[in-house]
Amino acid sequence: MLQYHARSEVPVFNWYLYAYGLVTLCLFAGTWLLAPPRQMVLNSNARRCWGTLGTVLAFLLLNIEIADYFTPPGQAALTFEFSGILRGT
Amino acid sequence: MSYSIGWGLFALTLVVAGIWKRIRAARYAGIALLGVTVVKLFTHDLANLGQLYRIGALLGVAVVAIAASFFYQRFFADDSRQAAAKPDAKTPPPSQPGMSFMKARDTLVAAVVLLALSARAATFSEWQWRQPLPVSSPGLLKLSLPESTLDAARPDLGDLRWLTLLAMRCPIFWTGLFPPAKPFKPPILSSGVER
Repeated sequence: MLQYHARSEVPVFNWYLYAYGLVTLCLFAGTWLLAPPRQMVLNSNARRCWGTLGTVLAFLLLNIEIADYFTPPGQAALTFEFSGILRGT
Repeated sequence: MSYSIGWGLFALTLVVAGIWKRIRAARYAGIALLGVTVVKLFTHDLANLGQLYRIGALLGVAVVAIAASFFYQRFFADDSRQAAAKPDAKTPPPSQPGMSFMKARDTLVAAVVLLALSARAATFSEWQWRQPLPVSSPGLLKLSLPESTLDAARPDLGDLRWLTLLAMRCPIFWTGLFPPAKPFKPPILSSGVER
């Protein structure tokens, strides 16, 4: 999806943020709502599962937003550049 | 570099959240991510950073690591000690919270000084003068330094370094150096003082 879906011209505040961010918020909201004694769903700890998924998705969103900020405007796909060079004095 | 900053802040958030909500998995994940960030910083980021950014990167990681360890010791370790002290009244009381803050502050100051000193050392790529010398065969060689190198170096040649192509130090033997300067003693011509 990151390959074929067009990027927005607006950095950071674009569809990446509200698509992945809303899902992340919903996962953490589910974690909060499934507080004990309601955490067991189908004999599994759904609260722990939603929390883990939300954390992983938040970490992915963080990396996507960093890549989106440093991708040149107008480029169709994200560029994950882990070797940014900063030269100072 | 932005990824390392983001990962460090994310790891710190995980550790703080894990301590606040008492979630062991979040604490361990935060510490693991912090370790990955430190490894990435030392093995990848420092090679691409200028001197000033290098100082900032190391200071940032030091602050995040010390903050994480401070929160861990301040809130989680005290709770563990108090929980362990409940069944046995003879155990000594936990240490005062101010002591851990002072230890963290002293550690922070020491880390800042050490990082500033270590980052001050210039790397091979930042040297001002470099003089390539041809080496025709392996083994012991006798080379003569060009005059331009002698002009650029200090008089005692104390700032000369010999490196291989892989930036490794190589042993050298100095021959034909300048003779050591004789101590200068002004001749005393008479007992009086000339004016």
